[in-house]
Amino acid sequence: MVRTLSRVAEVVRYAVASAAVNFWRHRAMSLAAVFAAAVMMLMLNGFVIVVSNLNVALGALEQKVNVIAYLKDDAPPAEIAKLQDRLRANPLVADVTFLSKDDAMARLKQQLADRRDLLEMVTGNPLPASVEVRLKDANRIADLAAQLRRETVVEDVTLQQDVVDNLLRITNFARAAGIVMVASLVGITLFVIVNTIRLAVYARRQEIEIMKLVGATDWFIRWPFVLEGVLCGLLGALLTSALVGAAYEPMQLQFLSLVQFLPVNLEPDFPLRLAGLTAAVGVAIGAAGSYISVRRFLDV
Amino acid sequence: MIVLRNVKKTYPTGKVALAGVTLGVPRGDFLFLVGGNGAGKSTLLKLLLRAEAATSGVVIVAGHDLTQLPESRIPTFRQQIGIVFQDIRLFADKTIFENVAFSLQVSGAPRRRKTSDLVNEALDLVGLTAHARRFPGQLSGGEQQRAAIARAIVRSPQILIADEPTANLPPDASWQIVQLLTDINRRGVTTLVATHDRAVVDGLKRRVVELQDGRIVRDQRFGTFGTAPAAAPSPTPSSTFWPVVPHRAA
Repeated sequence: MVRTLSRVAEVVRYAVASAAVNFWRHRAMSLAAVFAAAVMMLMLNGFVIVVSNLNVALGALEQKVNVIAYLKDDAPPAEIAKLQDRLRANPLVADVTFLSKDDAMARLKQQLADRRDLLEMVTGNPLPASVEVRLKDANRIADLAAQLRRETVVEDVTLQQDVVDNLLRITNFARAAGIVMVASLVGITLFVIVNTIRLAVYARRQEIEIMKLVGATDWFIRWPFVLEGVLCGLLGALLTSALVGAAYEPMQLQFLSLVQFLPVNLEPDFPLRLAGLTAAVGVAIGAAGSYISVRRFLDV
Repeated sequence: MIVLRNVKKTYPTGKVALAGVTLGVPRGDFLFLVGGNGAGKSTLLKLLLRAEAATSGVVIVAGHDLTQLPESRIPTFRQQIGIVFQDIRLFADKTIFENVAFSLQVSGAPRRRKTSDLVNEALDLVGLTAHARRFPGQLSGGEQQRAAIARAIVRSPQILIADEPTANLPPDASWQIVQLLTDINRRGVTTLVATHDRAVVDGLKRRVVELQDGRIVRDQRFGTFGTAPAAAPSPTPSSTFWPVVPHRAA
C-alpha cells in the first residue's frame, strides 16, 4: 500500500515535472496551442454572453405571463385567503396578487378617469374580485389554469392561450438554438485543439515509440501529455478571461443601450462565473484533446 | 534465458520473415546474430521484445512465455530487458542524465537519491560522467550510443538486446561499444547483438548464429562473421518439373 502510494506520488511528480519541462522546451508548439485555445474560447465566451443575455431577456418576457382567476361574488373571505395560501405554496407559482371587488372598481375608475359618463352608467359594483398569478415556468400555464378551475371559489379563469403559446414557441426555440450553437462551438474548439496538439504529438511520436519499447505503460506516457494539454487549456482560458474581463463592461453597456425595451440585466457575478466556466472548459478540452491526440500514437 | 521453438512469423502482407527458428540462449551467454538484409534478424529481435507477436511456435524470454503474455503485461516484461537501437534513439530534448534516469522512472523508480546514484553508476560504467548534463546532440555518435547503453543497463536487466549497435560508427568507437557490451556480459547479463559488422564479430570470436531466409543456417560456439556472402541458391533444376529424357539417337 505504502509502496503503491509512493509509486503513484513518483509518477505524479514525474508527470508534472516533464509536462512543465516539455511545455517550455516545445514552447512554440505550446504557444500555438494556447492561442488556438484562447481564440476558440473567446468565441465561446462571446456566444455564452449573448445566449445568457438572451436567456435573461426571454425569462423577463415569460415573467409577464400570468393567469387571472375571477372569484365568485359569494365566496367567503376565509376561503379566498386559503386559496391564496395554497397558491403561494404551489411549486408552479412565482407570485400571487389579490384584487378585491373594490380594488377592481378603483382600478377601473382610474382607467376611465376621462370618461366619467361611462362610469355613471354603472350601478353598484359588477366587477368580480380576482387573483392574479404569475408563473415560475410559463410552460406550465395550462396545468395551473386547470388547477385553478377546480377551485370552488373560482368563477372563471382567463389566460391568453395563443399569445402565450406563441411566446413560448419563440423562447423555447431561441434557447434550443443557443444550446445547439454553444455545443457545436465546444465541439469545434475540441477539434481545433486536438489537431493542434496532434501536430505537437506527431513531432514527438518517436519519443513515444521509445518510451513504449523501454517498457513505459500507456498511462505513464499519456500523463505528461495530458497535463501539458491542461496547462495549455488553462493558459488559454486565462488569456480569454483577461480579454473578456477588459471588454465586458463597455460591451454590456453598449448592448443595454441597444435593446432598451428588454429588461436585460445579468447578475453582477456573471463575469466571474463565466471565467470559472472558461477555465473548466479549457482544462477539460486540453485534457481531452491531448488524450485523443496521443491515443493513436500509442500502438507500437 | 531465451528459448525459441519452431518460431514462425508471417506478416499480414504474406511475407515470411521467420520460417521455423529454434534457438536456446542460456543465462550469461553472449551471442552475435548475423545475416544479410531480410534474413529475419530484425523480426527476431522484435519478437524478443514482443513488439511483434509470433505467428506460431513458442517464444520464452526471461521466464515469460511471450506467446501467452497479455497486452497489459507487456510494459512490465519490457522493463526487464535492456535494449540498444541501431539509430540510438535517445530523447533529444532530455539531457544524458535524464535519458538514463527515464528507464528507472518508467519501471517504478526507487527514491530519488537512489535514482541519481544508479544513473551516475551507469554513466560511470560507460565513461560519460562528464557529459551527464549535456544533450544528445552535443555528443559524438559513439558517445550517444554509450549513453543509450547506460540507459539500457541502469535497470540491471537480465537480458541486453542490441540491434546493430555499431552501425554508423567509426571503427574505434565501434570497438569501444563492443568492449562495453562484453564488460556488461561479464557481469552476468545475457547479451544478444545483431550486427553487420564483420570486424566486430571476427575480433571477438564468440557464439555466432546466422540467419538466412528466415532460418538458422549456422550456430557456432566460437564463430566468425562467416564466409563471403552466401552463394546464390542454386536454381531449381528444370528436371523437377520437366523430366528431361536423354535424347538418344535411334
